[in-house]
Parts: sequence; structure tokens; C-alpha cells
Amino acid sequence: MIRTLLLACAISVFGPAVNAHPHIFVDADGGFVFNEAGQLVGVRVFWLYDEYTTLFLYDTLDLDKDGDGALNEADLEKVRLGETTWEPGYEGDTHLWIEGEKQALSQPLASSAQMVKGRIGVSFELHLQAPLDMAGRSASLKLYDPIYYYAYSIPSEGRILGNASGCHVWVNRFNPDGQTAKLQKELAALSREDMPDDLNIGAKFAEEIALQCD
Amino acid sequence: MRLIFPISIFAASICIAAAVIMLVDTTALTYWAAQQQRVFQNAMAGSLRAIQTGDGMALWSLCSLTFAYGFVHAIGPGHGKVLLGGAALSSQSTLRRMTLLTLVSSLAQSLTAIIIVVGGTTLLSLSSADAVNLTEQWLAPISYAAIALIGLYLAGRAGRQFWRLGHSATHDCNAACGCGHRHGPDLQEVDALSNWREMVMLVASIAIRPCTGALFLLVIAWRFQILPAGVLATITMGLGTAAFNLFVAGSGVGLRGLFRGAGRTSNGLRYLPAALQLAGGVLITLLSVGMLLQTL
Repeated sequence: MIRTLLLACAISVFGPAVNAHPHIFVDADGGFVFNEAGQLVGVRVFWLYDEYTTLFLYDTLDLDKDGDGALNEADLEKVRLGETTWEPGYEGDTHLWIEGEKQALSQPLASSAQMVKGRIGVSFELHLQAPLDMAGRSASLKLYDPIYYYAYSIPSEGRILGNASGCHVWVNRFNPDGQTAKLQKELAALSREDMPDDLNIGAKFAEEIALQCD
Repeated sequence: MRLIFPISIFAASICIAAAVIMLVDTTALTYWAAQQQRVFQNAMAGSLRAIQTGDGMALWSLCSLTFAYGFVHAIGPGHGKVLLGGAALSSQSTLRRMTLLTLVSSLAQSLTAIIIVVGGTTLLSLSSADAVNLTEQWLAPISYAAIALIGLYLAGRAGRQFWRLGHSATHDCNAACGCGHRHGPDLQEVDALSNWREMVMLVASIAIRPCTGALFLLVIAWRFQILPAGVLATITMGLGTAAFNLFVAGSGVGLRGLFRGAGRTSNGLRYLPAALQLAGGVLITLLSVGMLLQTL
């Protein structure tokens, strides 16, 4: 009992649940991109920032110099470049697994920026090292910031882009009760000596876009 | 064995804290708080745009929104509630003093945001993105480290009291030796946070790290040329944070009262203030080191 409590104490102190603090909210969407030959080439990601962050970006990216509140072509180009020029090591909060294996993805390609009802949006593709035949395989796409400074949510149902036959896509949403159950399982696992390896706060809240191909 | 009493108080405090953290489903709570914050943020964006277009009433809605935002946001880490709660538990501070400390530290936090945005961008020509990076990457860890140090200081202080107590207990003190040993630390001795230097340390450790939400607010307000409205709304945000932290500090004072009530039935009472201070100090240190590790 004391041991469990001490471990519970340790996990609550060093675990992530006590420490989450998002400041930027993104309505995101993800699509699986297929080529003509029906192979998976990568994913397309859509980000739509909240209105508050949009106003903040006006300042950080020095947009709307004429002060009319609207963004012109030059502004949108600044947004596109600002959002898709990534520092080394940054994965764009885009995490793709195929058959449970984490995939290395390219830098952003085919990107664009737009203003949607007073909110800044960007979209881009990230490609796999090589196109992949998905027959009989499954994929999992999660959009999350490991430290939960950005909070992504996926209001849509996920997308399939291009020539994919026999594949279907769906979204597994974040469910606080399910998470509670998971946390309890983790705590139960503690008495079996091991700490949960996923101490990553962002991943806890991540919604999953799942793909299954026949 | 006299030591059993303080040790059990110490263990009980740690366990109660762990149990509270477990019982309150922090994952769901954090998610809920984040969703609320999102709603408030979007409404704040609307008010800021309205103020810019000359809607004077929008200032009132902005200030109420930032108050609510500050309150909800304080549920997240980094707003000093660990320190304020722990200090309330472990010092002999009255509710009135803790209230004052909470208010001052939250308002000082607002002031830091104003200084960083207004001073940083004019005097140091920081960009607004630099200001946010400075806060997230430097000031947040510095604040956690400072809070951890205060925790250690409280724990160390309590440790000294124990040592003194143990020392005087093993001593057979008779009138002849005239040793003047005391049989327990008096309240004055354990009363950390009673002098202004310690209080300034506490306030500074919290205030050094402003709320990023306040930085956003000030940057946007300045951009919209309504900086005074932004400053006012930042202050109400600080008051909102203080309102939540008052609950935490108040609970700390209350919990201390409960322990004291329980301790009265036992002869270990004289160890109680020191035991509470040790528990409070250790809790503050553990929690802030945990948060520090995550920011590094």
C-alpha cells in the first residue's frame, strides 16, 4: 500500500498529468495521400489556428501592414513560409505510424496558407521515404505537441486523398473517461515494477486518425 | 518514540497530497481547463477587435473574460499555487497574510508581463516572439528553480528545529544547569515567511514568470493601438489567478488547522509545526523539481 502510494506520488510529481498548459489551439485535420498507383506517399496536414493566436501571428509575422484587418497575398506568403520553414528536429507535431512503426517524414511540401473566417490556416504534405503499398496494412496519424503548448483537436472525420481503393479512415477521439481508465491501468502496472514509458503529456490528449486497408 | 509522531505527520501529508492528485482526475481536469481556456481566448480575440473599432463597452467584457481566463488558467502549473499552498501549510502564516501574499504575487506576475512586453520591446527591441520564448524557455525554469529552493529552505529550517528538539530531549535538563533549553520550537521560530525578506523572495519566485496568455494579450493590444486596455485586462487576469490561488492557499491554512486539531490529542504537539513545515517544504521542492525537469 505504502509502496503504491509512493509510486503514485512519484508518477504524479514527475508524470505529466499535473503539468499541462496549452496556449495555442489548433483545429487540425489529416489526410492520407495516395499516388496514381494506389500507394501511400504521405500525409496532408491542415492547421487552423484559434482567433487569439491569429491576432498574435499578426504581430509575430508582421502581417496586415495597411491595418485593414484583412490579409493580402504577400501576407499569406509570409504565413506559408513562416509556418513551413522548420528548425532541424521539429517534426511539425505530426506523428505517423504504419503497422505500429514510427515513420520518418519529409519537410513540408506543397504548402499553402489561407484566411478562414478570421482564422489563419495552413496546409502542407509530409512524405514517406518511399511510396508504400498499403494492402492489408493499417496506419495511425496523430497530431500533437509533446509538451502540449499547442493543443490540437480534430473536428473532422479524417480524409483520404488520391487513388486509394479498399481503405477506410476514421478518427479516435480523446475521451477523458477512457483516459482515466488508461491512467488507472498505468498505476496498476506500477506495482509490477515498471514506470509507464509514455510520460508524454501531448500524446495523452492526442486524437488519432486511423487508416485501415484491405 | 517521540519521532514517530512527526514522521507520521510528514508521511500523512505526502500521502494526502498524492491521494488528492490521484483522486482528482488531473487528465480530465486539465483537458477541461484547456477547453475553457480556448473558449475564453476566442472571446477575448472578439473583444479586442471590438475595442479597436471603438466599442467602449467591450472593455468591460474583455476584463471579465481575462478574469475568468486567469482563474481557469491557474489550474495549470506555473502560477505559484504549489508554493502558496505549501507555504500556507508549512508556515504559521495567518489566512490574512496568505491572502495578501497571493494577491501581491499574482499582481506582480501581471506587472512582469507588462514590463517584458512594453520594456522588452522598446528598450531591448525584443520581438514579441522573443518575449514569449524568453518566458517559456528561461523565466519558467528559473521560477521553478527558485520555488524549489524556497521549498528546500523551508525543509532545512524544519530539519534544524527537529535537531534542536532531539538534542534537548536527550539532555537531562535540571534547574542547576540553567541551560535554558526549550522543549519545542516556539511559533516565532518556525514561522517562516514572517519577515519581509522571505515574503519578497516568495513573491519574486512566482512573479518572475509571467503568464504567456498575458503576453499574447499585451502584444495584440499594442498592435491594435489599445495598449491601456491591454494593461487593464492584464491586471484583471492577475486578479483571476489570485482568486484561484486563494482557494489553494486557504486550503493549506485549513489543512494545517486540521492537523493541529488532531495533534492536540497527542503529546507530540510540540513537533507539529516543524513536521508540517518539513512536509510543506519537501512537497514544494518535489513538485517544482518535477516541473523544472519537464521544461528543460
